[in-house]
Amino acid sequence: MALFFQQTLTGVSVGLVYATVAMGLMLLLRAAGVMNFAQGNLLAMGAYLSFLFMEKLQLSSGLLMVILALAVFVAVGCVFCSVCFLPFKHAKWPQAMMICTIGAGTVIQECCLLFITAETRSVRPILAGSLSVGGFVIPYQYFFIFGAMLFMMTGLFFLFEKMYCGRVMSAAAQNKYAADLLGIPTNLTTMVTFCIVVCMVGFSGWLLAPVYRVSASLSNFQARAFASVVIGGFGSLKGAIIGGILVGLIEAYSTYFTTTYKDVVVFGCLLLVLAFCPQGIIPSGTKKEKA
Amino acid sequence: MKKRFLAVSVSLMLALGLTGCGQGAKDSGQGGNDSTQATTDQAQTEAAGSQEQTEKAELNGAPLKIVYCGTSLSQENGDRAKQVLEIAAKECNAAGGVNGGEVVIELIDGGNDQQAYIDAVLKALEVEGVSAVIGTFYSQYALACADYVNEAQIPVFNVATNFEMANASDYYFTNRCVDTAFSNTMAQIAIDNGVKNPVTLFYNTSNGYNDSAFMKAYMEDKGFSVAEEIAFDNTTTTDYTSIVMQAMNVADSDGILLHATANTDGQSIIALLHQYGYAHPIISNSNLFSDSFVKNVGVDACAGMIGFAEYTTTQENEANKAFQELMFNNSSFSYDTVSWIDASFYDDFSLIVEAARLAGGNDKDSILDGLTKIKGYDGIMTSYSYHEDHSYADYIYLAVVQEDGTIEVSDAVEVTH
Repeated sequence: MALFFQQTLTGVSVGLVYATVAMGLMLLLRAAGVMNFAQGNLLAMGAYLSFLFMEKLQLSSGLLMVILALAVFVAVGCVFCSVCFLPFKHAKWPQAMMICTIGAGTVIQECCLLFITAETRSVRPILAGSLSVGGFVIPYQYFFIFGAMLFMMTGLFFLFEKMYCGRVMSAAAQNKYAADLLGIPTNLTTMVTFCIVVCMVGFSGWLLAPVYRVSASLSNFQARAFASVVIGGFGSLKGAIIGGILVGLIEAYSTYFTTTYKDVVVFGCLLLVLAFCPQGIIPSGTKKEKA
Repeated sequence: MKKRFLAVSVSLMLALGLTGCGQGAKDSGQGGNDSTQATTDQAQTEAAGSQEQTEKAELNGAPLKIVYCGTSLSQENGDRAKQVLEIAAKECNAAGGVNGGEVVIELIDGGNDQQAYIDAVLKALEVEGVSAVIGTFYSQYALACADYVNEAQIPVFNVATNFEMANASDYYFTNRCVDTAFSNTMAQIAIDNGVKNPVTLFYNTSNGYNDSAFMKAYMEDKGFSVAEEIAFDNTTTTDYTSIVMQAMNVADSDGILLHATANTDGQSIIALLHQYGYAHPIISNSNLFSDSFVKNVGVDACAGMIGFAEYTTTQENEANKAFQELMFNNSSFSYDTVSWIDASFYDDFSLIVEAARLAGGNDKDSILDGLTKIKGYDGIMTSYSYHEDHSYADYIYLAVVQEDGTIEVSDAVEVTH
């Protein structure tokens, strides 16, 4: 029973990580209409930056590191948008944009390996050690990760549900022509969205680095994030969060049966959801709203 | 005007080309005349002798061309291989080269997947005048290329240690010892430390499965057992918590026999076992016994880990010291630690050079001939001799990570081939 509870805790923890990556995916999809296949690489980039600033450059000021990281993330967001979105804005084949994000992801990964480190490295956590209660162990770093996730989830909820600029971003994504006619600066809106997503995912990678190490394998989270998006409900932010936690739990419980083919179980569940409940657990409200 | 200039240029180039061909034909004709002049038996013998001498002289001046086509050059291991091989070649050439020829290193990016590696091997085998190839860490990649290597008949040193490689190709070699020897040593270390029913935890390649099967067979042969065999996919797993939880909670198990790489899988598993307070012995393969691994994972997490090492960084050994000095004093070496990977590539290089010296030639056939003659050659990792299973290591070392993070290396275990 203790193992079951520990696996549940593990599943929820890693599920929240999937949820963050999935939320970033949803944000770009809702606000820019882009399915971003570089999301995992952006997550890994955040981890690599933490290693660069903390271990390689030995920067001691936390504030300085955050400012520098923010500057890098914004710059990457602008370049990413300029390369993967703007040239394809009027393309007849929207999949070109998606393919371009795959290329961009590879470039980001190779740059990290080339300029920062090709080794699997570790970085210091914000607070070392673990909380151990009755056989359950949670590293303190997880509390920062949970905190950041909650902050991002709340922020995104307010952005899209309560704030005007969120609606503007959604409008720009849903119908660019109409948004242009209404005087919405769609290019600027999209670029801001890209920057927000890169910051969000980048800082998540930064926080995850002490737990999962600094390595390109962090980008593997992306595949599970896609599964989270589909299981939770394509287009729904709440669905992405619930889907993320579900995928984390499925993965953790699957180790009772197989440790090697965890992905088969996760993606098998994904296929089942697609077969029996193609809208996902929480269907997007976009369709209803449009109707 | 432009057209006229182009026409004149093309005509000139054609004329020069034809002149060159004509000169070549004239030379070969002269050669033919010379040979026909030797009419008597004595003259024929003399001519044959002189030809042999000329060939040997040509061979002696020929470069020793080593092509590296293993892990992608943008990955750590590939980058280390590149740096070490270039430093080794520079050092060797500064000392006069081999058999009167210089050592040439050519690098081909072996990518990160099997097909990329196959492509790289095909390119490597077609490099003009290639003497030997240094290949991959992954035995399944090596096995996939065996037919091409057999066809080309060029010696290939792999870092991989799967015992099936030598069966697949007569041209495959490894400076390390094959995985059967590794597994038996690990199982014996477990027994020596009172472990009677361990869990084997390994990555799901043929190498990992072989290792686990050999360890299980060895334990059972000695009257013990293996509680459970747990495989993991180290290419797609990032979070190892649930796997570690599963391994820690196997009923009646009293230790873990870990077969992992020094990358995310090994680092995460060791860190998690420490984090969750695993109390039984952890016996690991040699990948994890390096200073860089301990530095990355943390001294607390690694302390007490037992197993065997192939490269003894902390051992008081003149060869190791000299090797580390060579690396750190060279501006081309960009890492702050020297690992067994560096030593392994350096030893691959040295064994190829030694084979060329023993055979007296730098071509692939001489290398093949020389490789079978190597006996008791002192490398950085250990001493090397040719063994029937195409492996070279004579010894591996028992190792324990101390409380201060240093790796104490004690007895050298002679490898049973």
